[in-house]
Amino acid sequence: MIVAKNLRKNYTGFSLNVDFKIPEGRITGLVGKNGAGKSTTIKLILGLVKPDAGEIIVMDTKSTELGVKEKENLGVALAESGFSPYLSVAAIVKILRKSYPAFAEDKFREDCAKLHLPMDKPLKEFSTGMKAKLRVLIALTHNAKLLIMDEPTAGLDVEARGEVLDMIRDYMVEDETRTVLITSHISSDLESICDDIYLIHNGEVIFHEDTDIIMDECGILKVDEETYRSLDQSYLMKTVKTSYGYSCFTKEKRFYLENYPGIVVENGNIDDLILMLTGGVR
Amino acid sequence: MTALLEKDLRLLLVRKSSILIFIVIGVVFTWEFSSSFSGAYLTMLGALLALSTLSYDDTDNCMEFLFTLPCTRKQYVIEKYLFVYGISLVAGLIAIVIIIGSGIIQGIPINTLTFIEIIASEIPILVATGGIPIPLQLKFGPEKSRMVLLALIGCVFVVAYTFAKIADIGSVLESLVVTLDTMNPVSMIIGLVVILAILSAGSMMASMRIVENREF
Repeated sequence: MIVAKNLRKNYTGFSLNVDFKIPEGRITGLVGKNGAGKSTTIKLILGLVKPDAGEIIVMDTKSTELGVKEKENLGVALAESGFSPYLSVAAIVKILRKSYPAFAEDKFREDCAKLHLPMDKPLKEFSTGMKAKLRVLIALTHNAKLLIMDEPTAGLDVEARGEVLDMIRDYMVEDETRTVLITSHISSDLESICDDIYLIHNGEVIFHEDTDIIMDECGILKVDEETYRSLDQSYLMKTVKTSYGYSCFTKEKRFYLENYPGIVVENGNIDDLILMLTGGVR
Repeated sequence: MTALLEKDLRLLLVRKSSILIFIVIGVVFTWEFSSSFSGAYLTMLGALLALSTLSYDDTDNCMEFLFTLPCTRKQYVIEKYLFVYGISLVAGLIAIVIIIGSGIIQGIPINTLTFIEIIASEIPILVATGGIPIPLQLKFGPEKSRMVLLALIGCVFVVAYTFAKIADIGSVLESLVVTLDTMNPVSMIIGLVVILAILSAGSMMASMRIVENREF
């Protein structure tokens, strides 16, 4: 669905250089620290910025050449952008009706009522949660084949985050050929929804794995100096010196559990992955 | 493109009270001053109101999202010119209706020459306040574009002043007035439309180039 080959974008003090492939029917997560290059990647996919080198193919079309037909199959929710805050939902309905031939107006109105989104208030009077829900709803109600969601749960409370994630899950259940690319700072959101995760750091993809494998196979070994020296280190992806010895991230948790029964192995999650692989300390 | 027109129309309706106030001012001006002035005045306000949708598009990174909707960048620019010119023309027509109404009430006869005068005053205003600022606003944003426009006007003034100093401006203007006097009013309007259409086309091409190269 999306293929990025030798994709490069240079800004003063920052360079993005990534390759990735997002197949049809998957929910893929893009994680990384602030300024890692997630939003630039999203903008390159949407053709909002042009690559300096390489190319990015979205639904068999170069991202810079996405036309009306391709965009009709694209559902987009951006973190800090949307319809004008001076418009109301009622006005947006009229715009969406003319934008997308497959716009499901009745369902949109129903969902607005369900999510308590007033039709006649301008968006500037909406709360952060209401705006986020509306952004996602707009992306979901025209039968898009590809959803691009940049931080759809940012600034939301637990309940609202759950509602937004349920909306995305339900959308995928309706048609399994649909594809979603989602970025988020909240790793638990991605753990619960994504099939696979790309970790991006300093403009490069430094890790890619299925979420199940991250959750089941990855772990953190917490060992003292002596144990660390005796360990087979070939399966350690990253080691950080700590006050008690070493904290080691591995993709082969079972190997260490079986061969070093005495050591402490904590289950891995996406937060650990980000912290360990991007040089943070846990 | 119809979705973009719908969006701009909805944004324009956000300023319903401003529209109403402008019409009232237009009525007062027509009653008190010349008809060609109020024609140009309302056309200018129409253009400025329509242009304000560009500022709305720039607020809160809205334009970034707009380009993810099913429209091309080229269509966005074409729509903007259609909208700004369309709304200015509607404002010009409202002015004509006000002028006719005011003429009937005040018992002032309105002849063809008056209409030609009104149209001749509306068209350049439409291009100057509608078409020319669009590429500036797309390139520099609503705030900076005003400064750039002022700087441009200043440059034009300096060039004109220098030209007047160097050339024998008196005889140039005299011959221009004589030529315009001898011209058929209809040919004059056609000539004006052609010149302004060329200017608008240039402005639109510049806008397309700016938007095609714009990154978000």
